[in-house]
Amino acid sequence: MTKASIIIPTYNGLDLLQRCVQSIRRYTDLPYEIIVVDNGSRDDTAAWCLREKLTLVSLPRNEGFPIACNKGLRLSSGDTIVLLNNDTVVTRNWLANLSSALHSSADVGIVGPVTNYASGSQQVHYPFEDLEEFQRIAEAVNVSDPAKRKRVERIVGLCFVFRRELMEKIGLLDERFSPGHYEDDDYCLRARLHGFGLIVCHDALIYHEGSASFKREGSLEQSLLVERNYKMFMDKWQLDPRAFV
Amino acid sequence: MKKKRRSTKRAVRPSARRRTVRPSRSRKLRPKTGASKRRKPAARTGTYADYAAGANDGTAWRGSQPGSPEMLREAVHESWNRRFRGAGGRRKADWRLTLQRGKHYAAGFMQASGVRAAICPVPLQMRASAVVYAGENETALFQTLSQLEVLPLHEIVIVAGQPTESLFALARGFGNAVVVVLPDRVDPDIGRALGAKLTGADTVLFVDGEQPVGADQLARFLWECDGKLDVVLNDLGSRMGTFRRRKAIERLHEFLNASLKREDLKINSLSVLPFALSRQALDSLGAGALSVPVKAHALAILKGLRVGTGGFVRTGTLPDYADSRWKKVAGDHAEAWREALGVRGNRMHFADSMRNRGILGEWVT
Repeated sequence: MTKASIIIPTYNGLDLLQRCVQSIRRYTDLPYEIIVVDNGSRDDTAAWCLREKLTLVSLPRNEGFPIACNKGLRLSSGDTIVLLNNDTVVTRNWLANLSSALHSSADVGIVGPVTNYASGSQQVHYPFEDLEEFQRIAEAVNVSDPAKRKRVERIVGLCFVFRRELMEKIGLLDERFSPGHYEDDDYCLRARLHGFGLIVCHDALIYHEGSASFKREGSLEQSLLVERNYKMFMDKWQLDPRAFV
Repeated sequence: MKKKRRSTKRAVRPSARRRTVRPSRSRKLRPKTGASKRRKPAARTGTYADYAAGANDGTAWRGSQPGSPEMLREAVHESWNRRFRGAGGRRKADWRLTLQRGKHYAAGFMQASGVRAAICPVPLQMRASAVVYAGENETALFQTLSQLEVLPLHEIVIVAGQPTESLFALARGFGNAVVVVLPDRVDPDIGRALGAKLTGADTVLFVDGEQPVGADQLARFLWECDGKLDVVLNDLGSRMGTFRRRKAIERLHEFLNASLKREDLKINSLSVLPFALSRQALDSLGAGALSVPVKAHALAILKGLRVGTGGFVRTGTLPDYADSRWKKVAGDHAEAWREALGVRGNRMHFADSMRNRGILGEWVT
């Protein structure tokens, strides 16, 4: 029986992490393990994870998203791997639907959900007032339907679901993109170059707060970072990542 | 030991031979002192050049930035490495000499920079890290980590199963530690295997969290592994007793080595900490293989990895017949032999020169 390894990198976002983990515990029916990778948080993240008996990888400083994910990936033992931002909240049937899309065909590499806040085709618009209403909407939306799966050229890293086989074939995230941005574009491109397809599941809606980690630091820094990594992607591939969005 | 010069003024009766009692010169009876204790004045050993170079670099470093002990360590490791490699870094350099030179360099650096820190400089070509499984003993863990801290390690992976908050805080307090907390208690071997999975370094040192070992001794494991060997074992064989006096488990280790045609390894085994593995060994064996270290030992030899030793480190007592761990150890060895039989055939490359098996026809495998 396959198990899913859900890897959540986090930095100083204990409240977000708690909300995320609570939703995973509530709405995930498949066997899973949670691996929290703490990027040197200064709050009580580590102590909370200890109390909650979660698997925790505590890094000495903030190494960014790719390095933290890679640590979690190395430790994981599940056949299905989920990289999840800490500022997400999952919903009923989220993993079941994503998982069935992933296993629908041998050439499916990475699948992703739709959400209220993401760049590209994964953003959908369902008006809601608060999280409870969002959950009710999601429950209605998250009815497994193969017709709602769409092939795309890129999936946002806020929720990446892929098979261990893919990781064994194409490797880990590229750490040059630390602290973050465009490592997901890079991974998606590598998957496609190896002949794998990417699917967005419109029957899996989850909540995403949106750039919470980076927002808390300052938006000027964030846009500089995005620019720098954009150039790095272009230098690596001689391709424009924005063409795949 | 300088011979005491007898005073010529004293009258000595020719008939009486004075027997002076000298401490025994036998190396076996004298406790081994580390290179740091046998410190000769730098000028005599000809390594004053290293001290002076260290002093130069230390002055330059102090000029560029104020430093904490951690920054000092980083700076010393980096600049010592450069100096050692720059002078046509001799790969076959003697370990004792290399360590001594490194210490002189560090002493000069610290003297000039005015910042002091405990440090064990080892010139490594590749990235190194350490893996520790944290038991319950916090004092021992603290001592172990304090020794690891002075080595040029990229990261120290500490694996703890259901740790207390104080144990976690202790581990977390170390600057380059990656602490892995598992929700359930695990066997130390499995804990170390998981830790090995986590690190991507080229040389990985495995130490026992319950048995602190001095940094100088651990440094040698890193040095021997760094690009030279794939598996560096604790050389218990250099101080084993006669066969009659050895423990049962030591005999098992020895028999495994002999059956794999590695008698030179004597009683050494991968199931004894500390040991070091290269990236090639880890990739070839798989980190999971470390959960049964004896089997990993056999696999390493079967796969033709370069297996050697990194000096003698005194360990805790090994399990014996009456011990509850004995069954596990025996079972692990049986697994190792099963693996070896599968690879090398039923006679494991030992030809039978006495019997004429051929007459049995197809009954002979």
